[in-house]
Amino acid sequence: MFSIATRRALVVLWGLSLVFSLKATAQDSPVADLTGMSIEDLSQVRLSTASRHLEDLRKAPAAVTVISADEIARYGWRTVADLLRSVTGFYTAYDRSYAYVGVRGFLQSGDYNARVLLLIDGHRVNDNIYDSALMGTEFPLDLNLIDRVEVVRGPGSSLFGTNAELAVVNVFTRQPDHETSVEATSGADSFAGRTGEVRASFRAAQYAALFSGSLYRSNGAHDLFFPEFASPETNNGIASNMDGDRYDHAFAMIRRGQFRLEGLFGTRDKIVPNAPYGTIFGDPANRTMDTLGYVDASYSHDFSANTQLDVRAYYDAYRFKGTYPYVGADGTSRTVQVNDAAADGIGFEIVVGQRLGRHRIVAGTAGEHNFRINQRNYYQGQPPFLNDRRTLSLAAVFGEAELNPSSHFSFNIGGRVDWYDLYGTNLSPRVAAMYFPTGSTSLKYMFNHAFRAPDPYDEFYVDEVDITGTNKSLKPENINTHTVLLEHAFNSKLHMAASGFSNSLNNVIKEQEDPITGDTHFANEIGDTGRGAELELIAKYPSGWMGRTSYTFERTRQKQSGTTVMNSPAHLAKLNAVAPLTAAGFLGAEFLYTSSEQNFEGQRIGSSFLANATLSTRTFRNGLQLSASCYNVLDRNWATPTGPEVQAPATVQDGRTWRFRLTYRRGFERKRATP
Amino acid sequence: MISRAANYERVTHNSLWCAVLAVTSLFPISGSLLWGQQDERAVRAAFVFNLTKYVSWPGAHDRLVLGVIGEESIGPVLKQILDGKLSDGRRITVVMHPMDAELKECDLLYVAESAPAKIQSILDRVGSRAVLTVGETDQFTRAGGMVGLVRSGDQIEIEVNRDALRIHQLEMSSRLLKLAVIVSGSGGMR
Repeated sequence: MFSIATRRALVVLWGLSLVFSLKATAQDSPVADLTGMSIEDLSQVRLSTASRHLEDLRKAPAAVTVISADEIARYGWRTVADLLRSVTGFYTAYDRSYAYVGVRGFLQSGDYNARVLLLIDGHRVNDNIYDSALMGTEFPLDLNLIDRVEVVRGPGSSLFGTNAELAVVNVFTRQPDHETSVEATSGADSFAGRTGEVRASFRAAQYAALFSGSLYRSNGAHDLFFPEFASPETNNGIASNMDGDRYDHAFAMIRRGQFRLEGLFGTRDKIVPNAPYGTIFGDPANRTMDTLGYVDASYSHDFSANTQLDVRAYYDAYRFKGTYPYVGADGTSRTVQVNDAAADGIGFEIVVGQRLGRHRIVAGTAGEHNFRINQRNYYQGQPPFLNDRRTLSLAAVFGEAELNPSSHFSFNIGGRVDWYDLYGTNLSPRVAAMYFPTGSTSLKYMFNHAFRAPDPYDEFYVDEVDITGTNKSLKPENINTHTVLLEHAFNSKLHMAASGFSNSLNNVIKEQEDPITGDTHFANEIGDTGRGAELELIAKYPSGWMGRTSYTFERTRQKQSGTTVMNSPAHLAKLNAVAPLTAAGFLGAEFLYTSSEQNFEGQRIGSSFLANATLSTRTFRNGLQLSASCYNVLDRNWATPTGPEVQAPATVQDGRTWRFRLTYRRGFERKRATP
Repeated sequence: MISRAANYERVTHNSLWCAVLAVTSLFPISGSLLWGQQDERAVRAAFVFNLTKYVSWPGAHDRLVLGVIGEESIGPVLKQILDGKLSDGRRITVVMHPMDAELKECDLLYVAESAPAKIQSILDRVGSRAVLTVGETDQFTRAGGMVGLVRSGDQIEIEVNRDALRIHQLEMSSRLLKLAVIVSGSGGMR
């Protein structure tokens, strides 16, 4: 692609640009002047925690995208998967049961986003049976409760442990309002979807609290056509009223100074229309139900301006129930197989941050004991043929040092050791070298080694299709990632980032299918390698204009065969933009291109181009706020790849759909005596 | 012999890095700040600036003297951002580590200390003068300081000791009080 002479010229040009920039500002980087911000805006500013205790996003040893609550409202995103689809290097799939997220060319059918770590307010919400990160309507928090989402592209096991192989998605919830207030949202969308949400903030003395509850019900698409079932016995492939979706959410946070108590509950029930795992087509007993909850108590204490302590203790609960109707052995009767799973665990985490002059170190320890990891599998009315009960414990220590020998250089060295009673020990190191030629430019090199421990589903699940039972002895998989990242701010409103990355996924835990019997099981494979580059441009203007555009190119191949891996589009191009229409409203639009990809059987799934648009208002004086969204505006046909559990090579996605929302807010200002 | 697959990967790899270099070398590098990054010290400085606008001192002032005591890292940032800036027509002068004589000139004292004994000692030095005392920890206002810019989770929250303000004849606007957590402390004549 480039001759040797061209490459040399580029290196010289690049070097010169750095030298000149260094010469231009051979002094310490100035700190931003935020005095133009109002006191109200300042009180909403969040100090970054992209890397635990990191106070300066500029020195984050990772590529980080921060999505604000404003963007969530302006683009009309319905789920975290919608939101992540707009992020550089991310793409999604949906099999009408769960939403799946791919990152930089990796999206493996048969697991449930187990290579992405999902956190809410720093609390891990990947469950402890399937390691699933619930990203679609199954995500247990209303998007209206999100203050911002920090998306770290690349591994994060050096601080967070298992699952943080491809990305860390940290969702930060809204804080209680500064005054007692109530807010209600009512919404309607295509397929008879309706939602009701209520939020309330309370302030009393030094206590602040936020409570929220919501319901969502959708009938789903009335008729869905599945050509693989197009025969008269199966209603000519039409699944009628088989796409229903419902969730209930509750959330509470009480804060007093640096102490916070937070609780969350979410349950989602989905009818699955595409008869996975060879079940009866058109039978409404095809369902999955996920319930997730936690109680998390955390406390931060500043021993001094240089020493901080974060302590967290929590209880986690997860329940899954899946029902799968089958034709009985006699060929006429119907029987329903039930998978149910339950996990309960308690854990703690202690993190200490210490500033030593211009350097900074972070050290922490974590422990978790899952006192219940149960998986049952049975036919209704019969004793279970799988009744696996066990416990799972882990302990971890981690640390990170940020060394800043001068204002132009920063080095980050860190690592984490995890001990699992079932899966042994894992070490996850990270090394980053960062160069800041000016206050507006940074060049970073990062090496990460991250892992995913096998989960109880990978290891101990048994059914009549999964033939290997408990003899798997899976090893943890791991990933080595090298990243070079250049970030530059042209001015305070326009920011770019360019990166090149190389991933090597080893001992990958993959769902295997017997080509003759169709039986499946999980086993370690040698792994995959991926390389690619990303370029993104982000703009934000005080007038309300904002936008992001990005392009990602990647090639991910199986190590053994050299062939392209499943679900790995080579090109991703995105454009998101918000335009203020009048003083009252905004138009948010996004255009998302995903190139063709192959499914797990090597079948080609065509490219997709999605255009979504949302009209939204500011909050009027009377407390009302409205939004109207149209998804897949151009009504394009598009599909995402499926795994071996579904007969079709891809799942057809919705055409043009709509959503309308009305929010009313009322504040109750505290009465104060005249001084 | 190198396999064909290995060759292919190497060519792709090199081309990618060259492409990144090509793209990155085209961007002019200026001296402005990276976009969207909020340093805690910058946020604190901006809060202090806002305090100067929303607090009324007794008597007429044509300048505001801001003293900084304590930990090293915030002082230079306050100096860099606020020194010479106009707040409602009054020019701000930042004095680092004011001695007792300079302390008398201060209208606002930023106390970057967290040890209760040190905080107490500094507040004792201020005495009954109309000096707006601003601290960083939740102990500060309870020890008799007036405003705490306290880190709460990943935000800065304002704590106000109204008794201490009243005793020192300072008034704070309702706009600021609306955002603040009101605490009671041992603010009295010393």
